[in-house]
Amino acid sequence: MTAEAIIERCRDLVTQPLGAVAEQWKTRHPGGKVVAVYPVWAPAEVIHAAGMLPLSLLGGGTSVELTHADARFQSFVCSIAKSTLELGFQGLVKGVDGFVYSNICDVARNLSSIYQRNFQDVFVEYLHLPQNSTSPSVAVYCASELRRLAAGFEQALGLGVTPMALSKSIDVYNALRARLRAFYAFRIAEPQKLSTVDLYVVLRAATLVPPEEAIPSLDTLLAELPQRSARPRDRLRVVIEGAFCEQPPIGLLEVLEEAGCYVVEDDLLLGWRWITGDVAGEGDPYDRLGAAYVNQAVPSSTRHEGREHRSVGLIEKVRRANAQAVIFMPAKFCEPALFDYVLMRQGLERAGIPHMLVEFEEKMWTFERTRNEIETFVESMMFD
Amino acid sequence: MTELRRATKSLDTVRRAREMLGSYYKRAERRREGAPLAWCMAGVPSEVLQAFDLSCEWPENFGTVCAARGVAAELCERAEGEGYSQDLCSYVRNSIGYVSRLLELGQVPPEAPRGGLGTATMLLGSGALCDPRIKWFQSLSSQYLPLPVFHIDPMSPPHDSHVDDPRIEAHYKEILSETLHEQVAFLERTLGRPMDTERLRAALGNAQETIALLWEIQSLRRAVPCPMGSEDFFTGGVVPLLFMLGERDAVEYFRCLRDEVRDRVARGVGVIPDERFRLLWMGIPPWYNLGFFNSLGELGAVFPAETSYYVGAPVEIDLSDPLEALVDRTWKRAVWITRWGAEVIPENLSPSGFSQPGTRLIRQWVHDYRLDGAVMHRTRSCRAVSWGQIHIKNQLEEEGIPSLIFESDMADPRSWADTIIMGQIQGFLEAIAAGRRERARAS
Repeated sequence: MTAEAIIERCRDLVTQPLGAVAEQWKTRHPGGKVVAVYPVWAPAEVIHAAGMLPLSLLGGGTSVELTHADARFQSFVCSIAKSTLELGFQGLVKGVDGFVYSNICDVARNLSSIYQRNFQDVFVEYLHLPQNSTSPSVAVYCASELRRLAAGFEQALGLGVTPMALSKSIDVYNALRARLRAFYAFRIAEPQKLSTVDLYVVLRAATLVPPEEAIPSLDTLLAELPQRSARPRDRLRVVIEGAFCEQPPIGLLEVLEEAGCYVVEDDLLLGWRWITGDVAGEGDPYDRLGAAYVNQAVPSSTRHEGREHRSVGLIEKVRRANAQAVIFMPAKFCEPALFDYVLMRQGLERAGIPHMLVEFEEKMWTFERTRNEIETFVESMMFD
Repeated sequence: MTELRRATKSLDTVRRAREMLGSYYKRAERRREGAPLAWCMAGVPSEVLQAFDLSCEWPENFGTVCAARGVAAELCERAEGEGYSQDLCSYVRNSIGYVSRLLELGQVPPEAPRGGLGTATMLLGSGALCDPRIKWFQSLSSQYLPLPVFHIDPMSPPHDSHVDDPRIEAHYKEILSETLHEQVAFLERTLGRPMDTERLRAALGNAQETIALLWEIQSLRRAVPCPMGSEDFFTGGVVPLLFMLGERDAVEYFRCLRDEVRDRVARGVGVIPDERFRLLWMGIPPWYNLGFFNSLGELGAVFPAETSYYVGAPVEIDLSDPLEALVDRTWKRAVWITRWGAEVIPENLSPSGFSQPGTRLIRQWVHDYRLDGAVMHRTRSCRAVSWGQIHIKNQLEEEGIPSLIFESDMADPRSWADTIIMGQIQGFLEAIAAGRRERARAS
């Protein structure tokens, strides 16, 4: 299969309602269960080890009109929270048996109970992850929280997790993450051959199929991409930062590229890439996964990094990707991103790295003003 | 009809709060030059601070004072000028604006109320109660005040947890115990002295008395006419509860308050002369306009109960190991809250002893407090507190109780639209009265 064919297939998959994706998998796996996880991170490995299909739950995007959910939230709440609830009202997640939410912000941590209240026939779990990553007891707690999650699956959905199965799932997801890292490394090296929109749909599709199915396609694509013919253009190499939870419309990513940027790093779909290398160590798989969440995590606005300045991880990312600028892309009302924006911006300024801010909402339809702003930014950089 | 104004207090004890709570209100005078001083978030257990004899400032409280004194908007704007979005917590913006101005002037800004905040030597935060607060002290320490920082990070069980399961209890108590022990270790390291266990034991004993007195006061407020309204709770109850729990001054203050409220109940004295509407208050109050409650009083409305800063029933603890007693109090309280329905309280494991009441308890209050309605303040810059309001509104509707949700902010007065809000209130009270007439006709 060609790169174009694989990417097209991914594009088809990501436009389908989550419920349809779940039902298709269940048709092929009678009696199977599907669990969707809200950003940023939840242990897909534990879901997979129970024999279930883990899916990323990323709201309604541009395709879902809010007809019920709006009345259940205050106005000053991010779009993804509202549209995620709306998915339930419109039956677009029918077929998904369980949902996992965590405490990345005040909105997300409340979504689990509001979802459960509105949809009592599905399993909903709230994962309370530690913010403080410097305490020695945090990894132990985290492992214990993952065990609690697994026990919840067994009790509610009748599917248990054995240590052996979890170890195998960790290996499979290690392999998947290695491929995803390879795509990111490839894009840094040859962004003209892999647009961000293409990478995004491939990555998003990988969160909608079992990892065993995703890996062969990703391998094929990784082998195909270098063969693509694309001439490097005189574009601005940028990093996208702040879109770790609510996902920007694909149209906005397209505009960014059309306006003269090569996006060479981003924090889109961060959960599937949370652990930066293979889950380390030996022994109890819960302990290993808990420790990996704490010690091998990508820098993120949803965690507290102790005294290390919030810009350190971003500047390192900029350097590693040989980027020239940062596009801050926080979702409207996203408190973690808005907080970090200030510290990160200051860090970038001290390091002499240009930046601009593009706030977005899921249901952005027109991008002309944003396009003009980005074009102006790019031109100011390119012709400086 | 109204304007931004300070509350007129009803109870004599509340009017004397500043005089009676000397250890808090006179702390600046008592502070030794150059002595260690912690800026603390609400949610840090004050008993532990007392066990170290550590002087403290509470920037969230400072935010309320700045709001009441009319300087918060200017300080918030300053923080916004430095990049902090208006969508972020107004307490945070107020403190960042203050610190920015402090550093610019090299001295306490002249407009700062009560002489400003003392010079911090450390920052003590809490991951409990609201999620992004942890970033607040991260910003302060990274950008303005390069000081040692420690955050406790209590984890709360989901609302539908089997809290009676000893494995669940152990899971949450272990991490809580660890984080509190780490806080003690941090303070011992930073201050260069050990925690005084006896002082902690004494403080926890005092806190037990305070909690019991608060519980009694809450019960007394059920009386008709209502002997104590929310304006007196917010002006006279929040400081000793949130920032002085464990201090003797707080115990004596609440004892005096309890006695006065009890006396009013015995004599049938209410907050307002013509009590026509008994309302529940939900949300953080508009600190810049606590006179709002008096304005409602002029319309015949009184607030005998509020969901903010709720402590709940006293729980028994064994003080032989005081730090573990604090863990146990925190857990037992979370269990108590959970049993009353914690579906809109994701952070109910609060070592400082307050959060929100459970949903079923609020429904129970409709009858206990003979409520006619609920007024909910949807605070634009605090999603944590605003979140459960729609659910509670729906729950109250099932009890036949209407609710009004209005939008503004707790410390940023720029979001207060007086004409609109007072219009909403008047319409709401008229609707309650009309409903009452309708029911009377039907019966």
